[in-house]
Amino acid sequence: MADFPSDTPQFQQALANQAGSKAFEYSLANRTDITIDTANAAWQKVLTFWQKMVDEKLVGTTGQQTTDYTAGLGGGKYATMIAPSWEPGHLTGNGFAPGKGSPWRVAPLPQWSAGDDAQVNWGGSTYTVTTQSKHPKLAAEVAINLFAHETPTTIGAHFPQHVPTQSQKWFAPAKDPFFAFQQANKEVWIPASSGYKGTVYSPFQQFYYAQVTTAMIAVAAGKPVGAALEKLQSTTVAYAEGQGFQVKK
Amino acid sequence: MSTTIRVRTTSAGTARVRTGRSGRRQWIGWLFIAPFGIVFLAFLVAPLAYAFGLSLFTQKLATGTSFDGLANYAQAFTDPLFLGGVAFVLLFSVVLIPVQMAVSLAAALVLDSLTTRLANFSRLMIFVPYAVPAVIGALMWGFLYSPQFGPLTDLFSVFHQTAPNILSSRNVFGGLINVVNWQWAGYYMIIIYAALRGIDSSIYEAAEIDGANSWQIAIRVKVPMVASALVLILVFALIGTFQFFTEPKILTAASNGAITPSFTPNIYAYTQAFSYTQFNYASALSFALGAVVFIAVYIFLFATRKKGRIL
Repeated sequence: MADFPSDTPQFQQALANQAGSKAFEYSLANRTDITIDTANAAWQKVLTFWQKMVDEKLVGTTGQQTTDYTAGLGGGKYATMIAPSWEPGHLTGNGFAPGKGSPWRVAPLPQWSAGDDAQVNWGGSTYTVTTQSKHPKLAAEVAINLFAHETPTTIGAHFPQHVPTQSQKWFAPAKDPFFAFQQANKEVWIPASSGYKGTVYSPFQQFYYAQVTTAMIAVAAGKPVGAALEKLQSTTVAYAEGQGFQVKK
Repeated sequence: MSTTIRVRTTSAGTARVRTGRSGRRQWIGWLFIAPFGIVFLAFLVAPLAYAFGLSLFTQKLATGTSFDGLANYAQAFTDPLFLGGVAFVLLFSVVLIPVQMAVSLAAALVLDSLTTRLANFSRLMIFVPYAVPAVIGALMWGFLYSPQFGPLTDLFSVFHQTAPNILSSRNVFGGLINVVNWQWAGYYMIIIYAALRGIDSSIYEAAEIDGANSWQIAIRVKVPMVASALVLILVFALIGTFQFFTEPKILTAASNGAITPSFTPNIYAYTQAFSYTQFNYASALSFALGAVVFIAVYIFLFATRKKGRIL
């Protein structure tokens, strides 16, 4: 039906965030203080739910960064895929032909209770100017001008990073060939974008993702969710303290 | 009197010339090794010194960089992720090396006792995996292990069984043993084979006259005579396994998280440097690993010192 990977922590993190997880509280105003709560009820709820589906063999446990998964998508192994808006770009690049015959349709993210509108972010990419730049202002202007004039043909990996583009006339009614000319922008992406409230990431997100991966392997193998989350919490706290943060739990 | 003086002058002169010449000779010697010396200093000593310098500082995300002496080393040897990686490579060596030695020794002994054209061909074929770059070899095995593309699924479906996922966290150990063994057994086989070829055939004749059969010759004569080659292989394998990196790194993407960022000490150092931007800690980890390898190899050579003739 779907897939529960162990190598894509961004996926589970987004699901937990949707259920109300606030794993980190961190502000650049106070760079040495951080609140860590990754063993929270939202994580528990999401993982218990998915573990049950894994147990009942309703969902697979293939890694999503693998050719096996992509081939499974093409071969009809999965009925659904929970994915970010850039996924069609990724799949098109892997040879999934857009157009009338494309089997894919897009629907809004399911909610935990009817009437909710919790939209989340799996992550993607952004353009930044680093501190090494001798002319940060000019560099930023170049980046902005490169991406400020997106049109239906220049649009990057499916959803514009440039917010003003979303309000342009052509954008909402555009028909997406990947979803067999469904009006994906109007029906799903624009409401998702406007419903998104933001996420607080940690300053050591790469490390955290690696620990989430370890926890997901345990959960997919049927080990207790609570213990996996406690371990996630304790290793993350230990790392943060090792990095000199004042940790509130 | 005049004669004596002349003699003295001559001997003094000769002596002076000799010192001058030998001084110049020494100087010329340095000149000859200068190209190597410069490269050696610039590309080996300097980076090592720089890395060691880096390892003495700690860089923390919250508090920045500070000089902390050996703090990183203290952290490394109490870091469960680093120690877990060291434990993994130790266990991996304990399983891998005997398997590898047995395979390469058996192959070398068989090939040594055959003189047909088939033997030459087999020797080449067993050696070929070593000529395949490690990255390509790992990629190839990644596809062979794949439940979707690999032959295992078809093979098991013949018997109505589900193929195991070799890259799952439970099976990945065996999967990697197989890849490394495939890659290196041929190379070690050639080393043993070369040592076997170097044995004087009159020894075999003597053994035959004493009534030894070919099995006894292989075990009692050939194996002890190539013991030093075996020790050499062991040391190579030990150092190689401690620095285990390429194969697990390549297979990470296909392993659904089973190959973690701290899987081996080298992968952990790599992750610290290029994923967590902890260059100082990564340098310390590298030196710590170097120390572990040095100690392990030293203990090993000490334990086998009687047999070892090459090292």
